[in-house]
Amino acid sequence: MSKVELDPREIEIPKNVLKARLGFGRVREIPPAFEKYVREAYEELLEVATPVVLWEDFEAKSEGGKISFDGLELSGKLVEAHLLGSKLVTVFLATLGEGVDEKIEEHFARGEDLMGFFLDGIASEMVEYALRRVDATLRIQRPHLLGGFKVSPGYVDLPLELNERIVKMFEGQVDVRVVQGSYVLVPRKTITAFLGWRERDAKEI
Amino acid sequence: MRKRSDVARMLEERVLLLDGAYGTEFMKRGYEEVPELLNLKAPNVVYEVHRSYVESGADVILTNTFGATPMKLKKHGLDVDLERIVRSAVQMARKAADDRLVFGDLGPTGELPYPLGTATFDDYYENFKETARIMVEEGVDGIILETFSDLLELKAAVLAVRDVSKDVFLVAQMTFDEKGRSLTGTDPLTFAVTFEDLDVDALGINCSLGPDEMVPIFQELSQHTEKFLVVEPNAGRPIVVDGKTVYPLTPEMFSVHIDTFYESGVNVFGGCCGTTPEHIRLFRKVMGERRPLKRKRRKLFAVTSPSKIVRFDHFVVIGERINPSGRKKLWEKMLEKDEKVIVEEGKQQVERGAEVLDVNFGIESMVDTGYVKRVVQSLPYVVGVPLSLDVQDLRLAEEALRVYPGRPLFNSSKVEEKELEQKVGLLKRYGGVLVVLLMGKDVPKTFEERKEYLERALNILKTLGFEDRVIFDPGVLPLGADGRPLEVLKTVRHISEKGFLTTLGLSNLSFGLPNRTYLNSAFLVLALNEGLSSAIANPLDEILMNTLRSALVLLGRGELPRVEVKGDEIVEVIVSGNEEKLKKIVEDLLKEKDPLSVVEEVLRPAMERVGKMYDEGKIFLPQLILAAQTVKPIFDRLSDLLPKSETGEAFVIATVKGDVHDIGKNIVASVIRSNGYRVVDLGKDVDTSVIVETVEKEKPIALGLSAMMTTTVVRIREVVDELRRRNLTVPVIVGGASLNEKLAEELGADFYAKNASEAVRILKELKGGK
Repeated sequence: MSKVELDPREIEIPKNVLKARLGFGRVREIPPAFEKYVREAYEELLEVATPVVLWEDFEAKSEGGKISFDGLELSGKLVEAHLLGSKLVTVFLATLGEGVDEKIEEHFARGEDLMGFFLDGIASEMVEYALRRVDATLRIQRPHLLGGFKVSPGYVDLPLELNERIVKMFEGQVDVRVVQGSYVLVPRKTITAFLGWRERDAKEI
Repeated sequence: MRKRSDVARMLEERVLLLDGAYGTEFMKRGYEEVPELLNLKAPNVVYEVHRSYVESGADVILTNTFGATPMKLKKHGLDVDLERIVRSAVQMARKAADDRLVFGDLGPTGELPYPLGTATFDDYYENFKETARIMVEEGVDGIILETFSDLLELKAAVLAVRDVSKDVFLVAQMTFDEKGRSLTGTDPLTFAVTFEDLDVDALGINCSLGPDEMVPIFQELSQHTEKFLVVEPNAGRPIVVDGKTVYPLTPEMFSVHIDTFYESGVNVFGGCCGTTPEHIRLFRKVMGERRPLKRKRRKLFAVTSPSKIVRFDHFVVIGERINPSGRKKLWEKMLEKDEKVIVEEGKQQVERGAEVLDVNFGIESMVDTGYVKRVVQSLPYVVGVPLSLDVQDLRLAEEALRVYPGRPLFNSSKVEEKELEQKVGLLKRYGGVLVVLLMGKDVPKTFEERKEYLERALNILKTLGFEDRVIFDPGVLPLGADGRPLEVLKTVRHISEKGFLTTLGLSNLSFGLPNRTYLNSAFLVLALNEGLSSAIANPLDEILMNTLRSALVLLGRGELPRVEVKGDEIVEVIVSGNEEKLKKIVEDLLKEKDPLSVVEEVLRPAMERVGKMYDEGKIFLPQLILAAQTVKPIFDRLSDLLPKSETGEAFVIATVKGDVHDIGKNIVASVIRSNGYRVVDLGKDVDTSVIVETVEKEKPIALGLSAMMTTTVVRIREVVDELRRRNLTVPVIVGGASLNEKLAEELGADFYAKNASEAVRILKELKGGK
């Protein structure tokens, strides 16, 4: 199991990604009247976010349309497209911590809806880019392996229930829990993913 | 040479990697001359750079021919060597490529189209055809047209390549600035809509911008095309270090963006200026072996010019005045090949509300073809709007469609199999939308006859696979010649009910009669009421245009574009979040009106207008949220002044049990509150029993339930069942990321609201007893 605690200031969120997430997808720049709010929300997030990314590699076996590793057996459309045939599967969990949720709720409770909305949007991208950063580093560090597309529970037909298993896998390393019955992750700015790796052919190295 | 279908199959299997920049690699090796010359002078160096990209993991290698076209090479006195340069380039690439794909690379001429410059469509066409011919003879696996900054030049290049080979894989790419516009004003949406019609395999974007800046432009393109997608960003924007131009993004910095392009549906990823074999090596690692993600195209019905897209999602006025029929002076000017007069006619109409200009050249056999081509090519650049090419002669129509810079309307075809086949054939080749006139050899008088023509047209169009690119014109005949307008109106309704767009040559109705304006205006209103989607009309007729605007409002069909919300002070204050000013306005109003009137007559309608602006894309979500946030304290203050019986209907809202996502719910609650409702927000992860008890107690106008996850939407059913068990008939409105209209219905909800303003609209309907 590996773990990295990141300084939120080091997580670069592309400007345009942020712009789109905050509802300005169809304009080229965030309007000046809103820049102040976005800046304030970003600064608040830097104060309260404690990004952590955890991951663990498992040797995997594919058979009859299913991939199995660490006692798990996964199948379905998403697995078939992106995981099946992988020799190795990396399981990820990334979170920004409880403080972010509290800050968002504070804003909404005070009627500062716009700040709450901006903080929520920036945090969603921050946790995503924290995970992407580790993902990209792993791909660079593993020249003999080809990484596929990261897939997450809850998307297409990959069951959300897997969140429970992933959280258990990293138990004690980070304060993340699963809501009983719905498998929603808490803190809310927490994401999980699987990434499959296959051996590179000799000519691809 | 691989077949077009083979390359397409490869792209369905996995995302391919293109190579990087060549110019900078040649410079590193000490060659600073025209890059294409190296194909003859130092082919080993060209081979070496190709090999470096092959060894880095590129799947597709581009030939060193970006500037190898007659017009471009002529500038360096090298046009005589074109054939040798291109042949050598393809041979070097093929030798280096092993089993990788080799695409012939073609860049723009650097000459602007007439009237911005001097180049004509034919100049461009001949230029690209020559190089494409040599490339295809040498057996390239595909041709990539890249870095184009003008729609017409790219269209000419596409047609030239296709005339050389129907079986070569073809990529068409444009370059955009940071504002998402090409040099001659095209945006990615216009690019997508225009080129979706043409016989190209892939669309793409390259050069000018780094990956970060290119993302939103690429995403806009990807949402509006079903073709394969290619992207080649620069390694950032160039900076000058020690007198040298440097592209700042390292391979690591660049690679972070690969996921975003992948998620946006890219099929071929590569690098443009400043990227090196080291970049490609890292791209290979990060991209890995990914299958491309499936995309769904957002369909829209539109026509385009280089700088404007006109969607038919609202009523469209097609200006009729560029037509010499009955206008002797205009006809004389056309015979004199006067372009200025056409431009003036066009400008005036656009200023008065025409979004498309119909262009009719009268007796076509008497008009110079070169003049027609110049007008059709230049008018969209000068006036800005798309054209409706009202040309009947098939050969002249082909010339006009060919040189048109965008996706035009083609007006029109009668319902005769041969004519429709020929005209659809032209549009399939050159792009565009067809106006189908519901008449054949006979001119129909009755609705039944027109209906028959419609059925016949639909059958033919279906066989041709073209029924989604047509607008039907029922054919308006002069009143004085037994025109029977009521039969036309019935036809408009029938076509609209079948889900097709309609248009009319409005002025035909009153031909030869006095008081034409009034007849035309009255008929237009009646036709609008039957669902008419556009009209070829005179926008300089003020009575007609004002009647049209009023009728659109009365029929609830919105406004004509270009009508800005000016003078709507209260909306401006709300949208800009100026709470202090809003307070002052309300205080002043309270001196004249009672609090309830301020709410019902001023604030609530103002918020409705804000909601409408959001729906129409005139403001963005943050502005809607800020507007709601600004209005809330004012509503609270006014509520305090009202007797309890008048404080507005209650609305209960909650996120269901098990779900802790409440941002969407909070926004909906806030916007509904700002529309004057008393919102009882129960928060998130709320027990079904608490929701039902609150409904029982508050007796709200509706209950709003939010559920984000697939695992929590089922809780909606639980709430609905419990409400019904207790005989509570409150309407249930649901929303959330995993929901849609069908699922909402299955779960027993009464309404699905995809966003906050839709929820407000539903409440308004409920309040009105609908």
